[in-house]
Amino acid sequence: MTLSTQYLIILCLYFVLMLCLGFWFNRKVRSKKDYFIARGKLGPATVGFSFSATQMSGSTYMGAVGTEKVLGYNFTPAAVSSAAAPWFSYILLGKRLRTIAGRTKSVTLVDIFETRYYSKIAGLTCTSIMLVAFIPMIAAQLKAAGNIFEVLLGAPYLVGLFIFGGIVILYTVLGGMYAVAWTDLIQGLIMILGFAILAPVAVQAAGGFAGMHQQYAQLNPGAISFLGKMPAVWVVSAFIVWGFFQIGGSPASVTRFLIPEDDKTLKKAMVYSVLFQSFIYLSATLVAIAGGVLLPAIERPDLTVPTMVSQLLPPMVGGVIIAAVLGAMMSTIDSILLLAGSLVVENIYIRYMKRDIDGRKGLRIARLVTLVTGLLALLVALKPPAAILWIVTMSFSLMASAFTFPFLLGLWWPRATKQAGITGMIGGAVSCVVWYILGYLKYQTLDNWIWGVWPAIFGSMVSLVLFVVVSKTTPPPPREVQEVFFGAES
Amino acid sequence: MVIFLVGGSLMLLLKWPAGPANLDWGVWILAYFGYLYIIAAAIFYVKTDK
Repeated sequence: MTLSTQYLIILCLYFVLMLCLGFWFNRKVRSKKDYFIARGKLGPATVGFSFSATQMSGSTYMGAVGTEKVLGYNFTPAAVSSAAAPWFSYILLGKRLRTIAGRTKSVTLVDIFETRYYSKIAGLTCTSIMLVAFIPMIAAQLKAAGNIFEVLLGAPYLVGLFIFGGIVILYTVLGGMYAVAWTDLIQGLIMILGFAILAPVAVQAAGGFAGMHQQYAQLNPGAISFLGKMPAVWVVSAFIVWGFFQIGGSPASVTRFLIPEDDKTLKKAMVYSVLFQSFIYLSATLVAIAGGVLLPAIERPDLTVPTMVSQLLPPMVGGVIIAAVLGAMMSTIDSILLLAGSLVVENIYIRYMKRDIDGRKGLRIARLVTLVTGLLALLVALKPPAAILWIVTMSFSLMASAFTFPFLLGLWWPRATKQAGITGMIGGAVSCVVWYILGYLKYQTLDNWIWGVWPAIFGSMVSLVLFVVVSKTTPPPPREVQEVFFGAES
Repeated sequence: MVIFLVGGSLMLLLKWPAGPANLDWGVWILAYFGYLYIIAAAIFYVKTDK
């Protein structure tokens, strides 16, 4: 049996399992509210794993490991910080979002945003920025999956793209949040299993923990500590961006806070998320350093994991890791697809066309919109941009700049006004894009920025300043908004 | 959170002495023990709400 056939057997089993979940949960979905958020119907492990699996995309296995292989411990603070991201998000946003979603019967984050900033323009701005960022994010994941099929299975890019994309779109369309959260849980467990197998094997092959670092230091001397390859400002910015700024940069994950009906479930979910992400990022660091020793001259660093799998592991075991990589991509795509669908249905179609589409009709439209969004992303992935991580990072930076402080201060600061919410979002998004452009003009690349300051940091700081200044200079929010958001908890 | 963000950022700027396994102590503290800090902080929050 050839190598690719053995990989294919494992992958087929995995894909069949995902589709079965889609069909199974298809029967449980009764309304579009069930379909989009399944409130109160998922336990802490499902919510926790789903939050994290959504946040960790294919770029965790591909782009991030590749970047860490090259930049070594200059990049590791970002990895540690990523593991802390759920800790920030659950505590700073989770509890309040859950409570307010219950009070306002919100289905999407934008519903809450629109209520908080008592303005349809605020809601529309939020929806537009998210939709603009989501399509490239999905397309980047689809592209990465197509590449894996190409490299490991010898299948043409388009065949891989359509098989992978078709499966993830189908189970999301069928099962909605139930299927997305449960497949995320299974994908998360497979991700853990994948790194639990690969990390020790890779470290051993690279000469053991101490030996691996000794060799790595010789091959890549600037990367054995925090500073050496990248400027200090870059390293510190990455540390802050990859953790704290996930608050605004990852709305598909944050949507999970609308699911639980009680705080206990939410808190337990946080522990699952933190444990899961800590394990994945610690393992990713070990695999990346081992990759630096074992594959010092690999042409495409983002293919470090697939290449190590094919060189170090028996095919059937390697198939599990490939399934884990594809699972990381699927878990991000399904969540973003569902969120994009909910935004179009709830915050554009219902809001602006004023159609009453509850019940079965609402569910049909929700599914149709999710399907169309998925097909649109497939279309973008047909002729994809070159680098995976930076596409995701750019979309992430845009949302982190636009949403971090308007989300955070909207939930914690009663004085925040609608004008501030809108200005903060638009100002943050525009200054983030401007920062990318200035970096590009100076360095002819999108991954090098002026003074090493990450665009998410620059954009967020502009957003914060605008937000505070505008809030202080405009009339305070109406009493009823303040009561919903800052009244005693019921 | 403030300890993690500010303390962690400052740690990145310091020059650290060599530690075990050919890594310096800064890398050990932040890049390896940092995970334990995050896990402990999350569990502490669940238990105490602080």
